[in-house]
Amino acid sequence: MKNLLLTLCAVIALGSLTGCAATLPAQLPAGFQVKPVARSDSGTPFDAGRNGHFATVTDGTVALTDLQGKRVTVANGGASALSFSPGGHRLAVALATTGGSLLRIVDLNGATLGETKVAGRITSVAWRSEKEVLAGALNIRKYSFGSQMVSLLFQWDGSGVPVATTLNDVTLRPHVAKLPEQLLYNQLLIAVSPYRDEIAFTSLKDPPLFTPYLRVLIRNLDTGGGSEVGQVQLGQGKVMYAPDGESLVIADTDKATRRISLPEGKPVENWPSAAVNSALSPSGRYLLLDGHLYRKEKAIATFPAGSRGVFVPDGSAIAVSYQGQLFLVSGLEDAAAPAPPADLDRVLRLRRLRSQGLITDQEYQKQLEGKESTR
Amino acid sequence: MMKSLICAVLLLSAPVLAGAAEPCLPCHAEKTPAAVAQWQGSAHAKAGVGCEKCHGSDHDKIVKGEAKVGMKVCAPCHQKAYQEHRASRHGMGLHSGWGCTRNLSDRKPGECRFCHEEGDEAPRSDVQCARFLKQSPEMAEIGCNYCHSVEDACDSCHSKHMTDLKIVRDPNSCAKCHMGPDHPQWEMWQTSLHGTLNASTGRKTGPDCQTCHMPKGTHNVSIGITMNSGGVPYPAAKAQPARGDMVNICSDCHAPSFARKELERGDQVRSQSIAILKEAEHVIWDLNDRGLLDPMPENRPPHPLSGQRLVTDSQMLYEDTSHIERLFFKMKKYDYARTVKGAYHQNPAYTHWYGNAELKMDLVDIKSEASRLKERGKKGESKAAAPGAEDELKVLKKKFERGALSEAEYAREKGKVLEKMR
Repeated sequence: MKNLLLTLCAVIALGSLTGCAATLPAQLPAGFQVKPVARSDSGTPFDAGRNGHFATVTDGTVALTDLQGKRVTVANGGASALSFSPGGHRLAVALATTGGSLLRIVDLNGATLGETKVAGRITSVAWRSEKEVLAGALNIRKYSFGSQMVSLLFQWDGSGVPVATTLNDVTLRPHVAKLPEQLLYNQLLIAVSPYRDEIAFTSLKDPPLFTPYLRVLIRNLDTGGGSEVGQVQLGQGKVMYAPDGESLVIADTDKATRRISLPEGKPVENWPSAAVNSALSPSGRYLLLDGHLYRKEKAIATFPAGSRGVFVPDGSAIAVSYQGQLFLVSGLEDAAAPAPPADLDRVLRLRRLRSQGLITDQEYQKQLEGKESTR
Repeated sequence: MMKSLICAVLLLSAPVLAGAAEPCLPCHAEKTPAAVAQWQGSAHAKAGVGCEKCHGSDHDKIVKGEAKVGMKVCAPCHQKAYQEHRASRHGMGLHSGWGCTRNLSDRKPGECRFCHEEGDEAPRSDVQCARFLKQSPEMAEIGCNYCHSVEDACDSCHSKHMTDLKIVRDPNSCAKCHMGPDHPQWEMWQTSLHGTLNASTGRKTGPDCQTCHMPKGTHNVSIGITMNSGGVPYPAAKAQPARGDMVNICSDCHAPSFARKELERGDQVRSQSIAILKEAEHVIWDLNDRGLLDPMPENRPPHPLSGQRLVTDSQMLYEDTSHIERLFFKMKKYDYARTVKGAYHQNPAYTHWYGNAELKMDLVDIKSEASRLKERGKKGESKAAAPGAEDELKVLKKKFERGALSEAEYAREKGKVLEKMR
């Protein structure tokens, strides 16, 4: 009893000193454990690495914290995006600078391995491989009759000049260009396919007589081929690949989320929660939507409003950021992402052909089935 | 003596004219005396139409070049001419000459005003020209818009302050634009029987541009024409009435049956020339299917409107292209145009030597270049591996997209390639 009171007092005292939430007021099923692991400023990006490291922004400083609480400062200044490499040995950090952004790769000791300037504001970073990092950036130029918004993809190997590709170029009407930044910049959140050959992202469409919306697009990184697979409302710009690499989790309405098949965009699964602050576990068994944790289609836990989460790459836990604190919620029965198919090269070749419209999806499926039937 | 007389008349009439042009005259008689003198001698001055009526009264705007006297300024008083002009291909001039330049480097911000007005959310025209988009602002201004601005500028033909109809009834006023390698109508008229008779005996015997293309003073210069400005024949429903109009025009001097026969001969020359063009175009698309153009569209700066694709239609370029496409550009834009327009203008030398002979020699050059590229492609193949399934599928897709393979043929051929992949 005495220990409990002491712990409670300590928690209250610590919380009042730091301004952070000392506990995570969540409704969790039996077997889940919660542990604070790092500080994380509200509204800032964070990520969980494969080796028990967490990247957060604290008091405007980007830091790496391990499970033992050891903290290493990585960069001074706020970051617009953070992402651990697939192996967890590197962290990509997007930092805002005057007139553009800085893309930096650091190791787990905080040492800078590479750094490059990027035109525009980086909205997301993602890793294609242990060496190649992708960054999506938005560039806005203002004219009297509206604004030009250009979406750019940067592919960077950590040295040299990143390869830039224009993904979208749209003229925004003046009233659209003046929308709040959390709406306007909540797009171009790049997701890398489990096959590492393709990305999914959203980009703004502003038709003259209609409400602006986001197009959900896929693009093969090697061929540049791709297509539009769906549309979502402004502000719901996050897309996530399901582990099969053949479907995407995207917003449906403002209160629902769907999984759509690729490349035709047909819905295959639905959830009755908004696609806000969403995250998908490595095996696809758990899905976090607007504070609700789903296991398959059933909500099993609820986190407080405003909390955001990211799954640990081995699927054992989810890191949840809430009121200045990052908590590790463990006890999940997830698994690591499925291993790539044995005939990966052949599948990649077929996906490459499909991305260019050289074969239809039916022909793609038939080729895969044909291969399986000959095994 | 004559000059003194004109000056005396101008001076005597000055008080009357000044009333229409107050308060501009006192300064402009000194600053721009030629403009004032031209206006004073014009029908506008006689009718009391002063400076402000056309230029407005905002002097700052005029000085900045923001008070252009466009066609809408002239239209209220010249409705008939305005409507006829709008219905003609002159009324489409600017549309075919402009395109959005915002993504091009080193542009002048003032350019936006050609298409956008302050507060516009969308441009006033969505028709774009790839060749225009490749030009620098300076080149676009003199090389494109000096002619294509005819859409919105009466002064393109009439001059700025003079109204003398002598100016626009002179074929030289057409020559500013209708000359040169791509559409030498002025030259081919001059050296035709019509033109030579005009030079020796005048327009009553030798008709000029205006006689046939602006009959009875109409501003619709497209009357009687049976193809678009790129030489593509109109469908019969549009061509037949136009042919009737032209036969009527010719019938002022010729028997209708004679006129019709002459024009139908032009139609035959046009059909034969199109067949030669199509043959050359097919050769180029075949090379593109096989990935043998040098460079291929994906390896050169993107086409301003179509991106990294082969373009051989009216939007084709003469720059940032392969050599064989550049030959085709000359063939289509220069030699085909000269053959066909030469035939309709009854000019033997333009039809044959400047046109048809060049057209046929172009085809020889294009086939020869295609052979060279194919030969080079074969050598490349022997060094590298045989073309993979992806290349084969690309060739098939391109053939299907341009109609060289039916849907069934495409599916069958694709099936064979996929079978090999298993």
